Amino acid sequence: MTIEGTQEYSINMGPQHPSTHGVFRMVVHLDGEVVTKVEPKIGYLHRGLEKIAESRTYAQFVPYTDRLDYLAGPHNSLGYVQAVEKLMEIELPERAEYLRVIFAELGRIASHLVMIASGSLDICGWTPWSYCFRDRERILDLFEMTAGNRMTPNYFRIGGISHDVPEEFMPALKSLLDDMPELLEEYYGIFFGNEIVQSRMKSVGILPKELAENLLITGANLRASGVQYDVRKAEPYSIYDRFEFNIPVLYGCDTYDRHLIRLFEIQESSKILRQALRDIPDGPVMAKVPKVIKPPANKIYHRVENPKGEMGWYIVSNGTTKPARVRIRTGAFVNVQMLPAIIAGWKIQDLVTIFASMDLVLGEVDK
Amino acid sequence: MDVKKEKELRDAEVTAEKNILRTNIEKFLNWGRVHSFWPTSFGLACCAIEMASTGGARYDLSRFGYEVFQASPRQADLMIVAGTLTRKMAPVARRIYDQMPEPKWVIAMGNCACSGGPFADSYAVVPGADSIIPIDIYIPGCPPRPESLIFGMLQLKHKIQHPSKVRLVKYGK
Amino acid sequence: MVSNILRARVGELAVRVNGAVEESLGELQLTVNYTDAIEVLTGAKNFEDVPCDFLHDLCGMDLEDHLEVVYQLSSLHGPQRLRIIARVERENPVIDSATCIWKGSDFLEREAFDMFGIQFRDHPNLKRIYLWDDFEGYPMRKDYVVESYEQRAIMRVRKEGE
Repeated sequence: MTIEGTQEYSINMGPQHPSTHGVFRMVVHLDGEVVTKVEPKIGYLHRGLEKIAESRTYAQFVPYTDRLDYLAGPHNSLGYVQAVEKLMEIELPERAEYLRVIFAELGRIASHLVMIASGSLDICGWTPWSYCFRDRERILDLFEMTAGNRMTPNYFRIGGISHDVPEEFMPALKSLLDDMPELLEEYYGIFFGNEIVQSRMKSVGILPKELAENLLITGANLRASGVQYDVRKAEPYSIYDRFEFNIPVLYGCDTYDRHLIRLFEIQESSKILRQALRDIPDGPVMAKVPKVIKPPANKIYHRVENPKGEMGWYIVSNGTTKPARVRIRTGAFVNVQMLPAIIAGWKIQDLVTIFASMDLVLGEVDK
Repeated sequence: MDVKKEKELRDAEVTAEKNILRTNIEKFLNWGRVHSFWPTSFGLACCAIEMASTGGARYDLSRFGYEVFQASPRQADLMIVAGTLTRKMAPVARRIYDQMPEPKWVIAMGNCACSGGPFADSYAVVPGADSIIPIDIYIPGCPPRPESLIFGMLQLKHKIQHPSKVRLVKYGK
Repeated sequence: MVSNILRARVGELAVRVNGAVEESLGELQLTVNYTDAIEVLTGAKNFEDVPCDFLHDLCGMDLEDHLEVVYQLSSLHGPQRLRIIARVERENPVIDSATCIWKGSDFLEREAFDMFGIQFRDHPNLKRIYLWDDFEGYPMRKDYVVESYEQRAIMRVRKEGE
């Protein structure tokens, strides 16, 4: 309701705006400084990956998967290669499975670090940003020494991984894991314990459980709304059923909890990494795969727990070397709907923190 | 050493003692510009994250004086096109370029901005940002390492300081 | 793996709407006509003991002679999974919107409309989501011809108010 003598107006935020983490655009309708409605406009990074997939062979498409959610490249590839392996019924050697899990979880940690970093940047906190990026570099170093590329390692192949890790990988990973508890404490102290952060974020942007389920929200955002659901537990893929870890769940449903749950997830991921490091066997890293990858005509829907939400790969094969359809269900794309649903009534400065808490990556939203 | 040269050097020394340097205005302004680019943070895709890491603690872009990433194109003189330029985004990119004050330069960071990269045959992607905006420096890589970005910016510095090196060569008559 | 209860429930539902049930690689699939889509989705959501009440994915699919809308269902409370395929005509692709059951299917349906041109009846805001408004054709259809490099290199004129 507008006050007499005033009128609603709308402003355009993005696509080039520092707090939209990429090329996201929203039309914000305002009454004074209270937001009444937000219309998200996406597609500024739409690259047509699903169409590209139809003109590539199965193996050629693997590098593209890294570029979906570029903050956590390995986990996207994991979903794709596993879907194709399921179609072809390939059994993987043990060591490859372990290395895949190690890479996927490292990617998750890197992604969550960027999330916390950019969340703090949006409320003008430069120090947590530099701390998180400092430690993220150590993970990228691990990627680099193995695969050669920092952010998009393109390390997984259909039927295994491209090559074994170098000698210095395991000691470096171990030292990172040893430092992890201390680092987490540091992030907690500098960001989550900060008074400004708490007053800006606590009880802001409530996403109730029922609404989250109805909006099909997945991933950490759902878990911060009190639903304990994780594909790694609910429908274990790869070798996630061998590890002991918890699914963190918070009941605050607000912006603060959506940030905090990422910290707990880093903790759980490092738990998985520690176990993987302990149990990893020696052996080959590539299964016997035919030279030409030609899955039989069939359909598969395979889903994995991406850092941003659930990622689903629906692959329809027609018996040739190229897929008939590759459908990518990305968590972030569906999670965008959260914003217009919960934004009404908050001030314009809350819009920025609520947006940051959704943890969108535009590569994944737009595909 | 001949006498004439020696005299010149001595004169130069005397002027230097008075804290005076002789140069022309263009060179002087360029000297200022190349040591303090203000890039506009035009991050499009994956490369934007590498651009952010370049500003981070390890690579420390501020060693060169280039770390002031401006959100507004009106206060920037360098545009780093970091990522895939889609056809939906192209008019926006052009508009941001037009809003920047002169003199201005553009760096295409990453394969996508250089030539469309892996997405060149997609229906929604502009094959190369250079068809939309004039580009000074191309940095290949998918995504390029932070060192590549720093090298690219130093090349741009070189290019501005020595315009004669990069002028178009006329072939034929 | 598919539980026997789920198999029985899907069988009952298939008989009611005259659909075909298939099972491969541990996934159940139910193919129906587009007119029954909403009935099937509501039925699957309210299955006894094994409710498939979470819509994971909704996507289009082009099979040359007809189009399909593929729903991937599962649940937050159990391991059950079900794929429902609704066949739609190619010339006049119309299907009822699932937004009355899950509000979150809004964006997924807009994407299917954007890529395949499938019209969702009673959708609150059926507009192009990824591509710009005056884009011609539906790119994910098999007969779509991608424009040449030269055409794509020309800057699109931005519509006022876009």
